Amino acid sequence: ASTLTFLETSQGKGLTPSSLSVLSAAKQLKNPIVAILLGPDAKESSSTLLEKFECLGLEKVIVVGDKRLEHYLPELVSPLLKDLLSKGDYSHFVMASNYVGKSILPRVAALLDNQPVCDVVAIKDPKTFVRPIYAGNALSVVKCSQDKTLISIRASAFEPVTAGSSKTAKIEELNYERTEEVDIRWEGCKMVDSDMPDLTSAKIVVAGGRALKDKETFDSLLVPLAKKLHGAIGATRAAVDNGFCNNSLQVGQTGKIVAPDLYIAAGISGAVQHLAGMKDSKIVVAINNDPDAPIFKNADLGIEGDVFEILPELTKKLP
Amino acid sequence: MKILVPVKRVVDAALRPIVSQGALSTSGLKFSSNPFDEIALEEALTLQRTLGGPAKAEVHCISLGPDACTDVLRNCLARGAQHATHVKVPEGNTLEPLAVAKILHGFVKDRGFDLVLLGKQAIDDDAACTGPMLAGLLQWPQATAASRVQWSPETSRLSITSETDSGEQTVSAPLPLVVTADLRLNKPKYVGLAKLMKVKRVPIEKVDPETTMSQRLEQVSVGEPPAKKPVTMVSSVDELVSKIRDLV
Repeated sequence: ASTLTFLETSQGKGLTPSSLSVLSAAKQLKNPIVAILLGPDAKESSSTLLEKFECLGLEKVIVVGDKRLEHYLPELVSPLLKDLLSKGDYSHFVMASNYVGKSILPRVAALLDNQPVCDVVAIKDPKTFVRPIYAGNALSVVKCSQDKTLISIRASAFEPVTAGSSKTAKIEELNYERTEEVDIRWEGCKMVDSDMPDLTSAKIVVAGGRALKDKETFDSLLVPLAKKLHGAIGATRAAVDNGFCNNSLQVGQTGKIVAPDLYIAAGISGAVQHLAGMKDSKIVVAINNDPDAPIFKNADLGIEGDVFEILPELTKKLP
Repeated sequence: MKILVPVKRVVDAALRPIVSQGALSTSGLKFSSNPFDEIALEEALTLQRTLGGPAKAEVHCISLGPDACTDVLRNCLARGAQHATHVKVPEGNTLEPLAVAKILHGFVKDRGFDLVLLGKQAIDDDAACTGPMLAGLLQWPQATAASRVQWSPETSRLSITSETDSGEQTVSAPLPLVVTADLRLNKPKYVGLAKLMKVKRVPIEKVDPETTMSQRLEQVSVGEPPAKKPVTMVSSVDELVSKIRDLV
């Protein structure tokens, strides 16, 4: 038996940080690991993986370089994964619980008549997993006794594999044969260009809420602090809805789930839906002028006061 | 065109279930429609208006679960849906997304729907599986977590924009297809008592599930997330800086 892991590349940037967490989660399943990489960047990323990252147990990387798979459209990717999983001796399949994972994994599972375990935050044993339910207000321990165990993992809950090399693994190229025609057309995307670190994998996140008033204030108060700490910027749904920043920065039940070493919540009251996205952060610092704001119940360090005064002073005084 | 909107009955979004002794209890709590499904219904009704009203496009809601699901469906009728079907599943029987997708699959095939619009996830199990599973079983295209949906009469295609991990992407597909709704797609309108009274006697169709299946996953236990230590309040930025330094 072996574990098939789905790795992603982001255009021009190589392997995504969440792919490195997928590999470390797969290691916990204690089977030999096979990775699959799709699209035009797949070949190059497979070499990067073998040369730069240490992943014990990685035996093979399957590369399907077909240009049509570039955007991971689930209609095209799912039949391919279904074929691989039903023919090979795979006991497990792991991918990240992100946008791509959420669109592909359930579709593949349905084609295999399988119920996947989504959003895994801990692996107890190769059949037993922990996943949050009710926006993280409860943790469910789930046991899977199907012939194949399909899971998606929350990248923030698994340390990425470290630098090193996995040169004993082989690379195998595979042709993509499209068997069934589903009419779906990729029309385009708007990527957020940013020189800030990736939100989901950043060690430090500086996040702002509605209290930051407008886009100019949001940028002028949060960006210098984030830059000084080499951290990423995050936001609440209210901040995104009010146009302070792009929606890809939303942290919460329906946005990004983050668990950095340090999370600075500035002018964030702490709605349940927001807490669901950041409550696993190691240290939470809350800055708010309302001493009764729920965020303080979920913080390690708190300071009551005006974000407009505290943030600039903090930026100046932090080393 | 026939639009199907599956709606799940869940613990109200403002409430939390009680976790004790390794199990979860929802007894005594208020239940409502899954908020994402309400957004899906609102979008179905908007699309219906664009297409020329109920004569051109009908909106049919379906809910799987105990008898109390009729309340959820009544609410859908009050919002403007033309038909409602209740698939009776006894209280205490947990339907996994795969079972839900299979039942919906049968219903969609039998009744000939062109579009299934549903929430991207339910706020109880947070699984986000049913939409893509249904699309897979039907071999239809899918567009998940839609934040914008647009019908083009020239091409007879639906164009869907979704928020992804690094921004947004747009795909287009002809009918039939499955679309799941995200938060920013629209803001569902408030349903007043008058509208609810109006649909009080509109019949809700009752059917038995076509397939019964055992659960594939066993819930071993449910626990509370580890409790957070009480916050340490500081009174100055200098103190904050030194504490952050100690901790990180």
